[in-house]
Amino acid sequence: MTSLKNKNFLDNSFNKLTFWLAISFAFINVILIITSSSSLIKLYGQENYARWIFYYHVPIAWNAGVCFILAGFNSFLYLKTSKTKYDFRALSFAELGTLFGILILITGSFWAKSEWGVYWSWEARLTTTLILVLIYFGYFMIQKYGGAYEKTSINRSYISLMSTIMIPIIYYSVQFFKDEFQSHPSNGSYFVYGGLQIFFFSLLSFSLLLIFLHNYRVFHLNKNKESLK
Amino acid sequence: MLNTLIFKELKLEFRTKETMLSMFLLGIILSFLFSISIENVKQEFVIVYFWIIIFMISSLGLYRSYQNEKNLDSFNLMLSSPVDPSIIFISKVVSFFIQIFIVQIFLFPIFILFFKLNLTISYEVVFLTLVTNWYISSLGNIIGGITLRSNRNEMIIPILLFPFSAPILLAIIRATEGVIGNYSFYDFSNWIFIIITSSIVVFILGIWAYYDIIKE
Repeated sequence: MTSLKNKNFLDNSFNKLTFWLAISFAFINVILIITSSSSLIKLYGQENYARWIFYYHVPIAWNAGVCFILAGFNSFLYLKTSKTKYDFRALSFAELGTLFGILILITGSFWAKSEWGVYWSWEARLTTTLILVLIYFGYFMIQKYGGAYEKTSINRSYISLMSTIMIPIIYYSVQFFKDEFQSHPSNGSYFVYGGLQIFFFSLLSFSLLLIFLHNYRVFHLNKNKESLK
Repeated sequence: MLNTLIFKELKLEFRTKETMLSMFLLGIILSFLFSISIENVKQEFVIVYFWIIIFMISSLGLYRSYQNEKNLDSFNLMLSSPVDPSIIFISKVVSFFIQIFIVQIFLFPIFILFFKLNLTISYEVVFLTLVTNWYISSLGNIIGGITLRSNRNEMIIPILLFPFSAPILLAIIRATEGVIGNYSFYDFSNWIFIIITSSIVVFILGIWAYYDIIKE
């Protein structure tokens, strides 16, 4: 335990690798999008420039989905085994999922503005994502004000497990709300905007960022274990 | 054992009637405010108001019911008895289900009066209402159990109850609209599916998880 206290996050070579890879990939990603977009805008018209948020919006949504599923899964493992490491993972994934969830709402609003002229049009997937983010706000309320760590960790885990029911609802919401709300672009129609390779590069860079952020958070949760309890 | 526990919960409530009375009064006040602030309300809006009011007053009722347990520390005494905690959960769900249904029965005529409604109640609407009440009751008791050991449960109960209820609120409103408006069943069958499955899932989760949630 004392050795962990004095340790640095970047002492580990894997952490160092993911850190530098995440940073350099993010940098290259921005450059790629900017340089490629000038020719692609010519192809699809100047007014569509806001659609390039697609390269950020979809990887962020992908990350958030992965985070919420893994938060639920690790919560389940924690309830099964009551090992603290699973709880730390679940907590870290919940935090990152909420962060990416908020970013989905922001980037989605930009897209909605260019697509429909308003920032918030009660589009089905954004609405259900907002509900999930609100549930996770409750999760953090429990963590902060719920009482002792042993108690809150179990309660949090149940909330996280219950909230995974929202993930299929978010995925299929586009079909449920068909006629009533603005429609979400369907899977195939993304690529009319072009730049499939750039999209996959962006996905890769965001996944690396997720791995780095998750490891960083878990490392610090382990380091500050005593203050949690 | 289950009968005894349900009887105990209901007796405790009917002795003072404080929870049901406060839920009912808040319901009247909110429906009064809704009806005077907007004139010529459309029928579909009335369904929305009704369910929003029901969700609000049930958060109040849940807070009261768990506050009673907390004040006298009676919950720990009940846990120390040789009863399966899931039976305690079922008894609480059933008793709150009965309470909220009684409040709805009294509230609904006032609603019709205030909003000048003329609608016929069909069996389908009553069935959907009962399933939704079951969902509110199961979910509310899980959340009440989660916040039992917390000092700020009056704050956390609505914060957790409303987001989890949002899909169900939407589903019950759409389904009731569909039934009342004689839409074809295909148009709103998705919503009924959501209501029924989530009621079952939450109830089973409560039975499975209640001991973990409420133990000290």
